[in-house]
Amino acid sequence: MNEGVGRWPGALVTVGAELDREFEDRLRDSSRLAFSIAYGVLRNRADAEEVAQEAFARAFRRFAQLRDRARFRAWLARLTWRLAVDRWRADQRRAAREQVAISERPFANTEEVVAARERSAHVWRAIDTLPDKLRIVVVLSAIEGHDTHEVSRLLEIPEGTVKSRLFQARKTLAERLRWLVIDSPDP
Amino acid sequence: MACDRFTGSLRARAHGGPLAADAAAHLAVCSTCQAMLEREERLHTLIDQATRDVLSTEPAPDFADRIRGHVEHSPRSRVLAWRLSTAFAALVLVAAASALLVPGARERAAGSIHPVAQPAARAAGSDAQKTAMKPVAGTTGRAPAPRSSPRAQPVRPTPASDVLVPAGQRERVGRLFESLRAGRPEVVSMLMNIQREESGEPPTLSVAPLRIEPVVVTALPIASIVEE
Repeated sequence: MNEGVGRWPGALVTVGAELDREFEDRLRDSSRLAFSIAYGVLRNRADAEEVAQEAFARAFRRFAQLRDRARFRAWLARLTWRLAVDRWRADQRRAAREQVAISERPFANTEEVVAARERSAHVWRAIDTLPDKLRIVVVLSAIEGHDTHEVSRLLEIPEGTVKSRLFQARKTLAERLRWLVIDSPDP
Repeated sequence: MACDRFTGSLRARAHGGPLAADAAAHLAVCSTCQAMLEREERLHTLIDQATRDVLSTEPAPDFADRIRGHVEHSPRSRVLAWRLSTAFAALVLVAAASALLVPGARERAAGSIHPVAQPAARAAGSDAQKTAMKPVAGTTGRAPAPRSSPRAQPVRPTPASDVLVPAGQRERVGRLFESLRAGRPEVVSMLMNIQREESGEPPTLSVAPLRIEPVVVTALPIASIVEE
């Protein structure tokens, strides 16, 4: 990343190296966030990685204005979301969505695994139909380690607004998915 | 049915909302509502589990390295762009300053004005009393032909132009453009649109009702133009 810096005068070399170090820190700090956001929309690892890479490339070009960590993460989250949604909309007919991952929970048999995958797919299809401002709150809140306070920082909106949108989103999802629990057997 | 009154409250309760006292009292004694609340809570657990499962997916192990590679091949526009844009701005300023300050530049520009402009400028005072529809003195549209100059260019007939300048202002506007053309042709170029004649003649600068052509100026001191 520093290949071209050596050709420039001393002051610029110093500035370039410092920026590169800071960007590397941001990369370590936020690459997983960008991937998770993109995957939450696309549910395809290759597509999510491509979108996240593009988001970082754009962040790199603007890094001089985004050096603050909080600001960088917020900007990256919003940009990644926008890129992912744009790609999702352009690619809606694509059939190669990955099987929805199921965590390592104890299932009695493969039928339960299949049933769990189907339910999960229904949940995500319902999430896909939410308005964007509710959808992004659902996705960000579901990322490990993100409480409503962190989500409010990423979206740069009040925490009360995050809670309100999350409540509305969950209410909408429940209305659309209630049939899942009516049909499924009690544990 | 009493249960219907509390359905909304119980559903809100299932995803973290408060439960009113009367709803809580009913819930304590109603097995139907208890079962309904359990289903709602199971639904929300299912939703939470599905979202967390998907978002626990990890990227490929070399993901960060691939980002670095992708970024390295992207245009490096951070500091470099800042430097380039600053250098470009400096060049523009230097060029503009040179045009203003370099000795002889003004004189060369002012030293030769299109011969059409001279009689047109002198005639500005007499023409000012004419009808409102006449174009501003100083334009080549109806300006008199040059009296004598080996470099005078033939006066081209001006197509009818829309009148955009109030009659009382045209003389002053005409003088303004004459002085601009004499001393600051590059300013005129920046301010106006270049319209190419459909006939294929060289492009001219037209601001209705004025018409300014890219001509070689002949000698005329700037001071005389400013005074007029």
